[in-house]
Amino acid sequence: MIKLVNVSAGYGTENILKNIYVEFKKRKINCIIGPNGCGKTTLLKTMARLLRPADGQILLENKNIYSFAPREFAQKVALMPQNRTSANMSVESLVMHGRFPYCGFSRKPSKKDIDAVREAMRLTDTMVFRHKNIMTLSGGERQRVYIAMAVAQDTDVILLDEPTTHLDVAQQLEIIELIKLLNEKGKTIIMILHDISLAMLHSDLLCVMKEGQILGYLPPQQIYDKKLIDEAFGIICMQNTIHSRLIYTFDKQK
Amino acid sequence: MKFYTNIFTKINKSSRAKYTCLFILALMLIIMIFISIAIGSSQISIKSFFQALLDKDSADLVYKIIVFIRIPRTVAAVAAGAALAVSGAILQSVLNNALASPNIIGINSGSGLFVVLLTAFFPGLLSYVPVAAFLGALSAAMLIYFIAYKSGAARITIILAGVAISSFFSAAIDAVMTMDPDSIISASSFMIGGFSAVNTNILHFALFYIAFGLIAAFVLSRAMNVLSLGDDIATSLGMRVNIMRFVLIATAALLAGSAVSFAGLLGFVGLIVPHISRSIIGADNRFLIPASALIGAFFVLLCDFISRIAFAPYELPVGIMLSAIGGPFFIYLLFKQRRGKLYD
Repeated sequence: MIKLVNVSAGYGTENILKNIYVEFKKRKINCIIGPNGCGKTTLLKTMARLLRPADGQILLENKNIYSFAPREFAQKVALMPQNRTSANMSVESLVMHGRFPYCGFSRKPSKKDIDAVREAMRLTDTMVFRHKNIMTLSGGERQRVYIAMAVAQDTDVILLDEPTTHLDVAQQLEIIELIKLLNEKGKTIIMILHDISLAMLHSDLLCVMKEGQILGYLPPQQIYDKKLIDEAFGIICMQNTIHSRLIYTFDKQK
Repeated sequence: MKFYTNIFTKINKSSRAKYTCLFILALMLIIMIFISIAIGSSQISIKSFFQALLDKDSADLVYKIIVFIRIPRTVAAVAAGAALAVSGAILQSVLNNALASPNIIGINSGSGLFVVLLTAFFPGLLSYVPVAAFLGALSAAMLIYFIAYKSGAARITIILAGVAISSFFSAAIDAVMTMDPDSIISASSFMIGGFSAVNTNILHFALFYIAFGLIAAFVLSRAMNVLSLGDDIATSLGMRVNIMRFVLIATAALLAGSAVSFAGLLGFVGLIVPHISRSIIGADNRFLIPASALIGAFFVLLCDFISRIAFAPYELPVGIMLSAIGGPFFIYLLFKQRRGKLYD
């Protein structure tokens, strides 16, 4: 789906991503994990066209992502960033903004736009507080609303930058459930997760990063077997089974 | 099922309320325009007012007062109020900062400096005053944007940079005026701002720019909404963020610069009117922009009217009245709204 060919990218003269080669698979839940400062967000930003790579190419279905017009690209790839200003508007109007790439100069929402917004709000279960101001919502609700906006954008790919940070455990699971649901509806998910356990348990493919490079892009079990988590974070990751469920525990390296 | 079919009717309902609100504001402005034209320091009865307008006798003193003094003055106040208020609304939205306004971040003084320079060194080029005003405003705006961009665009940096630039330009204005006291624009009235001696030639040119700027602001209001979600989201929604921001800042500079070219350094309107408008009609720029234009025009016209009437036949510069009424009212708004809820 999205293929990065020898991509280097960074801010200023220093490259954070160093010669990355990876192809994220279609219709999968792809998780990116790695220690702080390893370039996860930079990787996501280069894929979302927020940051131009210093070197290399990023291909979306074999076409360079910069060959698309901005709006055309926005109809193919949606991003839920971590950095955003606190929007002061109703939930409904925020989700409506997801239709921006489709609106013509008149910017009047068509029947199709309204249907897409409605469907997005139904999927994300945000219909109940559609008239509330975003600022009055809890962290988990707000996150769902931003996901709803990305869904309304009606793209094949959704990029999410740490959708579960600052949420309590129940809310985290809710967001993961929602992301799985979107994946079942055919979306390709590429997301950064902070929580290694969540990533190991809920993703189809894991991309483990360290110091601007990719250690491996494999299914979770293989990542574990190759001890890539240990290598990336400098810890010991242990897999156990309790009541036939996988759990992961972590320890310091000796 | 009914639950879902109803979801968009509520939006329409609340925007209907907003349209009503705009309508009432427009009505208030129209009434204020009539009052401003009909009442002034020289007493004209309502009967002779309409009589003069119907007769169109250019020798009639009443007709002269109305057509050559009061109408231009009213037009100037309306245009300047709308332009400065919308300029402030754009800047607050684009720079994402509640303190942004053309006078605080130095756009007004940049514009003023260019005007003063032009009139001091090229007194023959009076018709270029609006152009100079726009260029001054734009260069101040771009300077601030550049500084903010270079320093990582922290919210407070923009304001601090603006305050620094503002005081630098003000000093330059003072310097030029001290060295050239005979310049066409008289120092005190220009610095405080007012409509008592509006140059109709300049006004004519400026009106074009203001009309253009207001239309541009209205057309771009939805884009401003998208921009207010943050650069990352705006980009991922397919907007060319840097170009859009440049266009918006240029529009704000055009509006503020044009207003300064004939009204002088009117402070405060650009800061408080957008806040007042936001507290009335909400933060959605599609409504906020027209509401700011209407309220700005109304507010400046009202203050000009009071400054003409209060101590007639003497008059106060409107800038004094704006701050005298606007300041306390703004503080009242701050108290009334709970902390951090100014935008609700």
